[in-house]
Amino acid sequence: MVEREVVLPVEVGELWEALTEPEVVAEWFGGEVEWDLTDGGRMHVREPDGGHRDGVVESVTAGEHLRFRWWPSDDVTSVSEVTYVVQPEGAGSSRLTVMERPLVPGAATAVRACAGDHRWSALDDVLFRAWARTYASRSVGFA
Amino acid sequence: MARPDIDALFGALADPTRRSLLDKLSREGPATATQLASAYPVTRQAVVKHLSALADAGLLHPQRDGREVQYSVQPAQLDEAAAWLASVGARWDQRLDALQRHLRKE
Repeated sequence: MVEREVVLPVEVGELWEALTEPEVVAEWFGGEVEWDLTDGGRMHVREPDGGHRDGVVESVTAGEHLRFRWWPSDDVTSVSEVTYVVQPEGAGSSRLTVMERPLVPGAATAVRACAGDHRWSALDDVLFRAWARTYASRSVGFA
Repeated sequence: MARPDIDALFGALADPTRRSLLDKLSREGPATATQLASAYPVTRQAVVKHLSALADAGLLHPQRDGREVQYSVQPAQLDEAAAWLASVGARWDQRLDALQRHLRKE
């Protein structure tokens, strides 16, 4: 539901690196990101304001797109899905589109994170909803 | 439940007819499905479905009035959606500004 688009004066490869390589992200982001950039991989983000986020990589195609679900570490019910799309935009430039949309509160995320399996399916969404209706007000921590 | 289901909220807002109904109700005050149906090129039944979806998302408050149900807007839920959009949007503006400054420097 939130969408931003920006054209940057670098080739797609360099933009992709700036978005995904933890050492390069650290140079501009003001925080830190650690992630296993494979489908279903886990991620952790420390935001510039000190907040922490956990997440799961949903799908990734190097140099093209990255989609992940993330949530504040202290509020697993506030899950949203972020998509990066990078495209070449003439010589020496590229276009980045970022989208973020809210998802249902985060039960299945927590359950799966605990179980060590982070892949997502339509069933997760259903479980998610059912769980959220019952336990939405309860905060769930996981190590 | 303690926190509104923000997914149902945005789902309800994703449909143009529902947004239009919500807009009309917030401008013109409470109305029934029959009253609203006369202003839309869809059946009363379709309007009832849209109104139920909006009510399920907590955007409308249904109140029985004789044989009909009157719907009124619950602005708190819209505030929730607007607050989410504003805070998430502002964060991306900051992040993309920083990214832009970083890449332009090189």
